[in-house]
Amino acid sequence: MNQRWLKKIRVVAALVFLALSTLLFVDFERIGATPAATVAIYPQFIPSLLTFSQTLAWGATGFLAVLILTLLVGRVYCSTICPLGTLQDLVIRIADRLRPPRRVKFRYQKPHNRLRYGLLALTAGLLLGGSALALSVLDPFSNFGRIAGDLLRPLYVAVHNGVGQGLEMLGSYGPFPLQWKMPPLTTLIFPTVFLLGLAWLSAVKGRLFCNTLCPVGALLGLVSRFALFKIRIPKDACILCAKCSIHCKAGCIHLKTKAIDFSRCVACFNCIPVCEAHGIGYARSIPSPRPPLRPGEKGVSRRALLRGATTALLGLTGLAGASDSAAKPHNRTPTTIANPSPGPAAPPGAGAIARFNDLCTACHLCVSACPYGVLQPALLEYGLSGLLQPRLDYATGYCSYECNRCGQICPTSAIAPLDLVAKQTVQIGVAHFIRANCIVYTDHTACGACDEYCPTKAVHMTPYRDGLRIPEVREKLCVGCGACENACPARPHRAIYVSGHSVHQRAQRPVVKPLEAKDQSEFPF
Amino acid sequence: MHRRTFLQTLGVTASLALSSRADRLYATESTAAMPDLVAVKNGEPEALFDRGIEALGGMGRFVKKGQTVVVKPNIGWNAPPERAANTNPRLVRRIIEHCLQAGAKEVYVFDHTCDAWRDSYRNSGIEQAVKEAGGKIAPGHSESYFQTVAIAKGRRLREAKEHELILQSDVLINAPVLKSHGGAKLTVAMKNLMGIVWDRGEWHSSNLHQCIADFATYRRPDLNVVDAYNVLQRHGPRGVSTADVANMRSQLLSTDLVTVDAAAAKLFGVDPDTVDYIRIAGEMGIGRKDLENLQIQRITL
Repeated sequence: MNQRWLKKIRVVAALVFLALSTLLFVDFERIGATPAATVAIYPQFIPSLLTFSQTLAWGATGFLAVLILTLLVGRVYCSTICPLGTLQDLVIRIADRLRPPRRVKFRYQKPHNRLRYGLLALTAGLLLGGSALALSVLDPFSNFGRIAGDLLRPLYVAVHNGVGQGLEMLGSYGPFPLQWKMPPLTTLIFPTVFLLGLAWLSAVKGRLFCNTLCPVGALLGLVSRFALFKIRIPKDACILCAKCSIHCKAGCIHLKTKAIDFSRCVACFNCIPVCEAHGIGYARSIPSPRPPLRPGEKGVSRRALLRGATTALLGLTGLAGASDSAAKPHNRTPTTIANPSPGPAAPPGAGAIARFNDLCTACHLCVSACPYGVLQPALLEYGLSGLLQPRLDYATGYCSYECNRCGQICPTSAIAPLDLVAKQTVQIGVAHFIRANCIVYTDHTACGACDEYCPTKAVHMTPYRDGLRIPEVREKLCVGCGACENACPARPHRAIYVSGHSVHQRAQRPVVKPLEAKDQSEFPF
Repeated sequence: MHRRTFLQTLGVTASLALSSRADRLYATESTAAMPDLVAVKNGEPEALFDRGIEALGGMGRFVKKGQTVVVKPNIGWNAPPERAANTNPRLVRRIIEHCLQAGAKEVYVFDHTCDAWRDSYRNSGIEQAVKEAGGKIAPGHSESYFQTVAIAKGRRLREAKEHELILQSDVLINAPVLKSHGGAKLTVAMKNLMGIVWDRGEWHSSNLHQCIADFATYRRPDLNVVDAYNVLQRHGPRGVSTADVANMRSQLLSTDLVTVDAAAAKLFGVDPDTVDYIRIAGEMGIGRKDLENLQIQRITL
């Protein structure tokens, strides 16, 4: 039986998924609206599962496809589709180049079943209880998104624009420079620490992350126990060359018993081409009596699962309480010249911040996609349960009235897809005007930048004095886009700012009055 | 050849014939005999421009063979053409076609947009129009394209960061759209030049009207073409809906941007002296706004 081609297919497929996912996050404009984006996002497990839980849509059945695939041949998801998995494979390759060659690449590792299934139970429990915090922290797709979108994107933009500048010196425009607006630096700490930790772990221990911390790995591990085809070592053919085991980055091949812990196998197929007996490979799985447990090794007992779930629920109650008070923003009426710290604004389509916090896994694809740079990761603005989730930062941008990309692209439907007409009446917050900060008031000069940018004329100019005009806010018309706050030139405190709603409201459509007819028969000069 | 391409070529050839006729007509006349202002109305954007530029002596008067031209329309906003927040793409296309016929080497089009540049270029219809006409759409959204220049005659504004294309090109054609403006009351030719400046945000906090007039002393466009086909009568510069737009089917052309602004103000229905930057520019002698003393050619199609 020769199945060496399996590895070649796996490598090509993995690189395609990695390339598409990376491009999606670093240069959304290029492929965001193409089928390539769908190919990259559709099979991502957690985003698809969360979207399906909201919409029951056909487009969100990727997780079912992955489950079926896993039931057939095991965790192919982990070796090909998951960009974080392929990233770890890249790290291993690079580390192998840098360190002295070694014969034994990996060794058999004991399973950490209590840890991985405990975390799975905790994640599931928190999710059912209404917090996506554990998912945000552990979900592989979202972690990859933060690495690619938050850390790699600025580098990509710098190189891209450097090339563009070079071409421009040769006298041709294009590719046009990309823009990147710097997020609060504190929000980069988590992805940086995560990346360093992951790189170290994979260089030393292979795919240990996937078999300990990753909730998708744990769930698919449970499923792959029942796979129709499994990778097996034919006991009679095996000559104990140990090649399979020392090349297994999941550390799941136990030579002494010639057994493979298929629940931890990430289906990388590295063992197949190295087998000197050409024996190891897929075989139809036959129900066999449970292999006896080795001393010091514990199987997943029902009791362990139960214990994990209890821990999860305990954690949940504590967190839910904490997030309840912190996640609900409150609007304060401005009384002083310094802007009161306004409630955070969630993107249109989030519905309510509590709902949004439950569904968003902070993958930051919307941050990459937003052409206005208004979406930035939150630190604790939403409270702990909204850690790293995107919020509207009106200092870096504003939400364009003509744009609904974030909802169209959100892989988890935390930002529900709204058509443009519907989105234009969603009020995510309301603008507040501080007259004493306004340049018209302080400097006695014309301005009107806020009115210029306001898409609904919720902000409009009213007579002031000496022929000057000063802004006024009609809250019913305001959608909370923050174009006024972004445009306001007053410093250090702006004269107009938006305070986000904890539950999104509906804004009135601007009233359409017909224009007065003018006599245009003669030139007026 | 597609039918549309064919028709375009036909139109271009026809107007080429027209403009060469115009060249012959005016070949013996000096530019002093040219009207100071041409006002055309009652036509589509292309026809308005064809007649308007002919009355000004044809594009050959402004663009010589081998020159680089930059056309500066208003592409400030992410809004479709019918909202009239940006210059009509059909006019932009026609201007480029005339420039290329006159022998221009390159015709660049750009704006330092207010909304995200990619969306604005696309949804205004201007990006497509430029590409189809054979011009080059250039970016204006990165500070690296801008260089600091001194505004020697400025009263308030002493320096500004200006787009390199303006500094490098032989010919500047200013192609604003006429519309209402919340901050400046009206935006036409002078105000449109804010789009070739990077650090314009500071103008808002340091006497906007004076800054607009000051900047007009720096480089006067070789030609100003005011799009008044669709005019945003209120809620400008962005507009809320097409209900704010009046279909005026007009166009104004002049080499003097104060003249064209004053005429545009009247066309819009306001006294030019009530728009501060027009009044200031007139007082500073940047251009002439005394329309009654100027030679105006009025054309009704």
